[in-house]
Amino acid sequence: MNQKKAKSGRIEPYLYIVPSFILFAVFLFYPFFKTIYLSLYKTNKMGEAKLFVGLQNYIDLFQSSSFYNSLAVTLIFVVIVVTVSMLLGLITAVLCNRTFPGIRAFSTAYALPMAIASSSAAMIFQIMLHPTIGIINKLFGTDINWLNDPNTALICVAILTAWLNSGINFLYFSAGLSSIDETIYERASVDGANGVQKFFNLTLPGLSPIMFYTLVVNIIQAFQAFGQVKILTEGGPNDTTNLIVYSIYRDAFFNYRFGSAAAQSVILFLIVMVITLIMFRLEKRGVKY
Amino acid sequence: MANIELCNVCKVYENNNCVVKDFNLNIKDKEFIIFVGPSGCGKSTTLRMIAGLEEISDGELWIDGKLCNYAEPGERGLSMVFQNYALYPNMNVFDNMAFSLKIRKVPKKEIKEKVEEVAKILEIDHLLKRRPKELSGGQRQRVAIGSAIVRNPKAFLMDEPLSNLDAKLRGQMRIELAKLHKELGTTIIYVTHDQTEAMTLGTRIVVMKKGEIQQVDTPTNLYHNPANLFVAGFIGSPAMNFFPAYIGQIAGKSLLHLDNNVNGTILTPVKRMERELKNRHLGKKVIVGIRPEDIYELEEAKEMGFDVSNNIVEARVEAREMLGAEVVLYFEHDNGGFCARVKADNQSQPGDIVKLYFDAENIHIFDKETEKNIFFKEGKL
Repeated sequence: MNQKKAKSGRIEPYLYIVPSFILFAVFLFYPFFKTIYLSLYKTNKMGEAKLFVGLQNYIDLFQSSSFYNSLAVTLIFVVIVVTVSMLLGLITAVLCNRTFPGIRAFSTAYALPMAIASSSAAMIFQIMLHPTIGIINKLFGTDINWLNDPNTALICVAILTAWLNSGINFLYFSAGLSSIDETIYERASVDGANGVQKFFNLTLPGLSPIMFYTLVVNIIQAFQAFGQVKILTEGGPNDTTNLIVYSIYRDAFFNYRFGSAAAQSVILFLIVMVITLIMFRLEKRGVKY
Repeated sequence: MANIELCNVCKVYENNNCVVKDFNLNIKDKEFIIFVGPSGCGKSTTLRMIAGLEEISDGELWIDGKLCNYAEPGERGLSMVFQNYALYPNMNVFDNMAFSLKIRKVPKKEIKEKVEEVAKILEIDHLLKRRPKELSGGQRQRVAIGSAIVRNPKAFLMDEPLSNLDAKLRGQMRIELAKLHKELGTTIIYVTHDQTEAMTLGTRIVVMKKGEIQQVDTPTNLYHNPANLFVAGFIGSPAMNFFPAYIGQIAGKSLLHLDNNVNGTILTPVKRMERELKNRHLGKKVIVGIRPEDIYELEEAKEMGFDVSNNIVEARVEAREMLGAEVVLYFEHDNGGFCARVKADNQSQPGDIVKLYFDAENIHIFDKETEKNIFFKEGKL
């Protein structure tokens, strides 16, 4: 009797995690391991693994100039997106960190991009950037085919993504700012510090813990941008916006090369993981208190 | 080294909520001025107006002969110690103390010398590399004070700097603050709600209530010569006892009938009061105040040589508080209750009926309507 009880007592805790484990297993672990498995095979058009090729898919990738191109494009894209979206979030949060009439309207406006689907935002941008009827060309009096010019396409997609991500950054930074003790600013005023000195000596260091977290989230998010590329440029012109996620999509669902796509996915995963690990290492030095 | 003058300073918030009214005060160089009062009396607001953290709605603020109403906080040459210390969490102790000097672009070598010198005075020189979160409350307090001292301000503003410390540490820091004031010789304006701090530290105390100054005086004067009922009740612990009374006359002598009752207790005022009462206040309703230490047990009073022919009150002991060096007895009386501070060897127990002697030399008489001290003498004592 007692033994039975002891046994059921041992099992009970595990039962509680079964539901979440099932969810994780179906939507995370299975696809993850299946991807690794697929990356070692050549597949048929149905995506079924047919021929074991070992690391050949990876070797092919590292010999393809198009893969290097998409890595480079992704890197530039991530740098632009993370910088711009964090700056936007930070500036808007600092602007909204005081009370004045209508503050709620501004806060809502700055946080709103968070609630917009990337595809619908892309549709709007597409119209705004249209070479003949777009408002951007009208406003600046220019005649640029923004999304079809290799010089501007990537920047356009990156700016859109940055704006989309700035909403959540605004929220993170607002939370960070509200946790900074108000009296240290008062003391700084009495000490004689001006606004700029306060910002660099108190606000930025005060935000450093949330800054780190935001940076990691932003980098991961930027690596995963897809919808806006699909709608605005489809990787063109001349592969200048062929981000790694879009390249995976194209390889898998246009070229039916699931093995190669899976290998790229694994590489993307490794890149994101390594960056995140490095950042966590650096956190200990970067966070000010 | 500053002369700070406030002329008719007012603070009015948006909804016409007036928190400081017509504040007039001249603070001389090297004074240790204390703003004291119950919470919400406007003392912190006044201090913040002097610091420049709060706008002055009306009136003038002069610092060293310069009108400073619109000067930026940093331009006023004052430094402030906050209740929660307001240390910069991302900087170590050295940088915290050096901040105001760095802002002013003082040469690095000079900053280092200055900070180390101040740290030595405050005995925090071994903590310079630590961050605020690694310090105890008392140490943070010292760092906050050190940061204020380091740039030789014209005056220190301190907003309840000791209230976050435990009782023992507070006592210690109080003594050190007094010492520091003596060493530095700088003007200090200090806000507190703790009357012990006010009495022990201040050269002058400003007692405030509902945004208005009640009395500005030295600690001794406040205690022995309160301007009104509020000051009398606020300063002193346990607080002064109050009895409603009216001024009557028997055989040509004025007397105080406690509890407005002819058959009740009668106090005979001393000569210096008697004539004034008879001439100007006969029949008036007043409030009589007497401090707990001016009430003696009859036997004790006899031993001490008081004339115990009158001013005897009989009352029942309700509670007894042994404080070590003395005993506080709480009595029941027709008008609520009162308390007396007696010698530690007093044996009275709750329930005992005790005869008490009221020392009429030290009673205070307040007009019931205006609540003003009838015998208040400006600048006396």
